[in-house]
Amino acid sequence: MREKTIFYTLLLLLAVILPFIYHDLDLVLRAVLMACAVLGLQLLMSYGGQISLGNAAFMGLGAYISGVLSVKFGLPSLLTIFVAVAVTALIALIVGYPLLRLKGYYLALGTLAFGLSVTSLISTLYTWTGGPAGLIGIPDIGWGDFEITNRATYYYIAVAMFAIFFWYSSNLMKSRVGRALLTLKSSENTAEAMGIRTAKVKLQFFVLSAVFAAFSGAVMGHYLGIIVPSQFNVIISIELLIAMLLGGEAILIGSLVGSLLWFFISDFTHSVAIPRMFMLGLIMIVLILFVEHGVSQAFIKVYNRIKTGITGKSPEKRIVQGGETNDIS
Amino acid sequence: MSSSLFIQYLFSALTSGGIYAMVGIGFVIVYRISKILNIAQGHLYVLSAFLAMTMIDSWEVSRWFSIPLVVAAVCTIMVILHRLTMHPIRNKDMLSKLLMTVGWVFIIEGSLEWIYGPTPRSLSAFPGPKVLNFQDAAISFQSIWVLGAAIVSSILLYVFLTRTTIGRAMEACSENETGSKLVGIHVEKMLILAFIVCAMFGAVAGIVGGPLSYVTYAAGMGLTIKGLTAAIVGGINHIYGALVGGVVLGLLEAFSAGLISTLFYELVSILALLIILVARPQGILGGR
Repeated sequence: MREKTIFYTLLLLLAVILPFIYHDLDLVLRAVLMACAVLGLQLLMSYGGQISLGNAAFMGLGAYISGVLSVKFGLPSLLTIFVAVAVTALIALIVGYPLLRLKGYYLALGTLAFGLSVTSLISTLYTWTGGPAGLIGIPDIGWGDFEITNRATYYYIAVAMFAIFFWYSSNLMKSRVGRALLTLKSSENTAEAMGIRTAKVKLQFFVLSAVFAAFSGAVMGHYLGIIVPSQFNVIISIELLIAMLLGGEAILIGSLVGSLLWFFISDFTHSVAIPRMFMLGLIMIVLILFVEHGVSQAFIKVYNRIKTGITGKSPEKRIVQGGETNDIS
Repeated sequence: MSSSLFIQYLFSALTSGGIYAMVGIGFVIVYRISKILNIAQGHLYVLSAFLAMTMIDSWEVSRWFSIPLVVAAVCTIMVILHRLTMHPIRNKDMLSKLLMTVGWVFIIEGSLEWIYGPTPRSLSAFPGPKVLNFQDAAISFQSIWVLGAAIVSSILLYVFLTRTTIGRAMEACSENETGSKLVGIHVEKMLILAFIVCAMFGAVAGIVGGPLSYVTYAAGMGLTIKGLTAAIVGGINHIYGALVGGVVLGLLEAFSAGLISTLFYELVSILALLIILVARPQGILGGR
C-alpha cells in the first residue's frame, strides 16, 4: 500500500518537472492526451469485456464539434469543449443503446461500423467540417481575450485531465458500479442473477469511455489547430487498442505507460523509415504472441520478484479479474 | 428511368456485388470452421492484384500462367501467416484472434507500402474486347469476367463441399468439431484448408477485379468492410448467404448512387451493416 503512494507521488512529481528537463514535450503531450482515451477504452474492454473498435470516433466527434463551434460560430473554446463532450456523450448514449445488446464479434463489428460512419460523415459534411482537407484555424483554448498559447500550459492541462480521469476511474472501479462491471465480464448471466442490470452498467461505461475520448479529442483539436478526418479513423481506434494491450491488462496506469511507449515507438519508426503500418503489425503480433498481460504487469512481476529476493517474503497477492495481479493497481 | 440506364446500373451493381460476394465467401468459410473473423480478407484481394501486376508487367509472365502463380503465392502467404501466428494462439480467446488478423492487415499493408509505394496502380485489363454494347448500355467486358469468376468459383466450392470426401470433412468440422474429431477428421488440417480456400477466393477476386479500378496499398480495409457487410447481410453462417448479401449490397450502392446522390456512396454499406447488425444479426438467410 505504501509503495503505491510513493510510486504515484514520484510519477506526479516527474510529470510536473518534465517540461524543465525534457525537450520533446509535444510527443509526451500527445501521448498523455491519447492516454485519456485509452483509459476509457480500458474500463470498457479490459475491465468490462466489451469490445469497441470505434472509440477514436468519439475523439473525432469531440474534436470536430468543439472545432466547428469555435471556428464557424466564434464561441469561446472553453465553452465549446464542454458542449462537445456533452453532445458526444448523448450520441454515445443513443448509439450504445442498440449496439451494446450485441455480443462478441457482432459488438466489435457494430462499433467498427459506427466508427466508419462517423469519419465518413465528417468527410461528407464538408461545408461545415472542411471535408478530407481538414478543419483549419481552430483557436487555442481560452475565453475572450485570455488564450493559452504556451505548450507547457497545454501539457499541464493534459496531465491534470489525465490525473482527474485516473483518480475518478480508480475510485469508480472500487465502487458498486465498478464491481458490477467486473462481475459482468466474467459472466453476464451470473451478474443478471445477482440483480445487476447489465445493459445499464454496460451503457454507463460506454458513455464514460466516450466522455474521456471526447475530452481528449477536443483538447487535441485546440492544441493542434488543425484536424483532419484521418486522425480519427479506424486505424486510430486500433492504435488505442494496441496502446491498451501494450500498457497492461486490468491495470489503470497501463493506459499511460502504453500510450507513451506507443508514441516513442512510432517516433522511432519515423526515424528509421520503416512504414508505420508494418511496425504496427509487427508489434501487435509480438504482443499477442509473447507478452501475455502487457508491459506494466510484466514490470510488476519483475519488481515483486526482486523484492522477494531482498526481503525474503512473498508479497501479498490479491485476485484481480483474469488472474493474479499485485500491488500498484 | 430508361431501360438502358437501368441495365447500366444493374451491371455495375452485379459487378461490385460479385467482388463483394467473393470476399464475403472467404470470411464465411473461415468463420464457420474456426470462429475467426479474418479482417485481412480484403487485403488478400489487394495483395493478389499487386502480385499480378508485378508478374505481368515486370516479369512478363503471360496472363493465363500468372493466374495459378498468383493464387499459389497468396495461398502460401496465408498458410505461413496462419502457421506462424494463428496456430500458437489457437486456444486463446476470440479477441486475441481478432487482433491477430488485424496484425496481418498491418503487415500486408505495410509490406505493400514498403515495396510499391503510395501511388495507385492499375492491373492491365484481360485480353479481348473492352466494351460490350447491350441495347444502349455500354458494359465493360471486365464485368463479365468478374461475374463469371464469382459464379464459377461458387459452383466449384459447392461441388468441393458436397461431392468430395475432403470437402465433406471440412463441412463436418464446421458443423461439429468434437464429432469430427471422433470420426477421425484432422481438424487442424481442415482449418488450414479453410484458410487456403479463403485465400483462393481473395486471390481470384483480386485477379479479376484488379483491372476495374486503381488499387493502392490502403484499399484493403474498404474491401474488407464491403465483404464483411455482404457476409453479415447474407448471414455469417451461410456460405451462399454471402452471394446474396454481395448482390444486395451492390444493388443498394449502385442504385442509391444513381438515383439519389453519390455523396453518400460510402455511407450506404456501413449503414446497411449497422442496420442488419441491430435488427437481424443472423442475416437474411439465417434462422435461429
